[in-house]
Amino acid sequence: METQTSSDTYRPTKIFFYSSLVWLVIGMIYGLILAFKFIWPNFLVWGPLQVILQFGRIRPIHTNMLLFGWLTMANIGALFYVIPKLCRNQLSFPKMATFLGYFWNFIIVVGSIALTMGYTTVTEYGEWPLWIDILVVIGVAMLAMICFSTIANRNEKQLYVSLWYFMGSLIWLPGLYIIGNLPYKLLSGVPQFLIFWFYGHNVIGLWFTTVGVGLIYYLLPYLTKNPLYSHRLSLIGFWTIATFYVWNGPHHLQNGPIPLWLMKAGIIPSVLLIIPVWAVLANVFGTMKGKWHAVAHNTPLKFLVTGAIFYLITCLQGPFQSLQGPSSIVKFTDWVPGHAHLPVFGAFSYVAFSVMYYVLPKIVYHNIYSNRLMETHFWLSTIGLLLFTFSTWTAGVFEGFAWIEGAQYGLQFVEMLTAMQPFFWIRTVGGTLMFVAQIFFIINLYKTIQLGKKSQNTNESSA
Amino acid sequence: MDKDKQNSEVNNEEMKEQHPKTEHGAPTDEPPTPQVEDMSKDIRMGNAKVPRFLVVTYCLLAIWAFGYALMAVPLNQVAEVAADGETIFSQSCFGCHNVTDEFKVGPGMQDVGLKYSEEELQKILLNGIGTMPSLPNLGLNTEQIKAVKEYILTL
Repeated sequence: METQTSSDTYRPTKIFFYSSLVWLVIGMIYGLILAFKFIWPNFLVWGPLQVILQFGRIRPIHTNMLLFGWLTMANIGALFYVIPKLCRNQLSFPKMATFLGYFWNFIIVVGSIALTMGYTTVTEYGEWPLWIDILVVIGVAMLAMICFSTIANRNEKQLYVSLWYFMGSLIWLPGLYIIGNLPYKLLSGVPQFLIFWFYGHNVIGLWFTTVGVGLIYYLLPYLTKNPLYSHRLSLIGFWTIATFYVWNGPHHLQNGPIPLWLMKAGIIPSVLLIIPVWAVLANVFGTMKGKWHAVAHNTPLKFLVTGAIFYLITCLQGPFQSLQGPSSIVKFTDWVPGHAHLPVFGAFSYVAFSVMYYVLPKIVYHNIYSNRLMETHFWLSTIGLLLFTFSTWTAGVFEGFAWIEGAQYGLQFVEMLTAMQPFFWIRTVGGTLMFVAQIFFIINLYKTIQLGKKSQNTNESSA
Repeated sequence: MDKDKQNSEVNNEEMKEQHPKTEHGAPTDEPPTPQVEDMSKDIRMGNAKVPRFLVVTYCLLAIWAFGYALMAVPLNQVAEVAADGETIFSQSCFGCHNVTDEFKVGPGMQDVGLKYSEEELQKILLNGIGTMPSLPNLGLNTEQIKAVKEYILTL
């Protein structure tokens, strides 16, 4: 089997895609345990599990595994497929790309072990200890080298807008990661948290968002068979996201111990992010013109368009939450996890699902096993996500107003938490649906891969 | 198991037959070829102008940004709560307790600090004692209970 795949151009993409699916399942299991702990705080508190599965330990495992195991690996797999296509050449350093696949898995494994054992740097989304951060930076440097070298050796004169987004992301990610993971050693107090949030927000905005938008721009013309609506809009979107996103960190410390000018410097660019987001959406809707009927039959397109719409909703919430007034209510409440799941699961995981459904048939030479499973995956994910987000948003608003009226601590806090029980239930049901949906997703892809292998073997033997 | 296998093979062949006919489904409508397909030729780019409503939005946002930069002021997001111990005492406790050592419905509050330690007092305020209701049950929050405790300790 190894010898057969060694000549496979798509080997790096396959390694990244297949491993990302494993992390998707494990990461979501951790998420479910967290959700159950909201209902029964003593869930799985048994023997050594009460230490290993402590809320404070598995929450970062859940976020890191899904951000860097699932979504990042899915994105890298997609980059390794899409960039050569757009450049009309082959991936540079294919052996290094294959190695990077194993290396990245190693990082996720050791990172999760370290967090399970209780080592953390408390940087949100960067909890892994410093020595693992160094491995991540080396990995990202390899990734950037492979991608930039492929782009530099391209046989296509024009740089399609997706490549702009990918190149931007690959420049920003190493910078972000280095800046974000140092201050826990170098700084303390408020400046430390300013840098933490610079990292925490931008890892979403300048890595997941920009790669995701690049993938939307790549897939949409194929799935709709329409030309991309406006090149100019896509460039406005690119340059404004590059300009405004990095300023977003301070809005996480809104109404906190930071000077007013810094709050304003965080709020204004957050609201101005409406410019790139609406530019992307206008482009998506413009490209969709006359092809909306295709959404009904084409599940990958359905995922892509729904992802784009979730992106829009997230980015209407974002500027709203960054304002002082709304921030004073929703900050620290359950609203926040609802808002955080919307871009990461709703928008960009949907794009990744769409990419996988689109790319996998091309790299295993077999059509997706079942359309019905794809549809099930879509509807369970969407219903689950909507239950999850609406329950957390509602709970968050209740909590926020209760806290303003003095229920931040003491007995009233406990009373308020007990009153939130129904919302925690809805959240858990939603999370379970989301998890079950991914099982359908993986079964479908697994069947496709198996069928692909079988048909390839028969082709070879007959030849 | 065998049945499953057969089924999937049948499925497989069916799908191969359908293959060229599949509408809409972009992933299924290109014949699988084992070479790197030349795909970027398929991407066409339009050059539509920026829609008018976006231009208007951009201008409004720019105006808002300058306005906000100049005019925004910090916000005190915590509602002021009456945490004046004496007032709360007169509203919620005075019905049963005198500020002297005279017995009313309950004991007088003078020198209550000698009778109970601060910790015991906290317990009584939070849980009630005998027929006395707990203060949280009277709708007082943690800040207010603290203020009451501090006030009666001065008596």
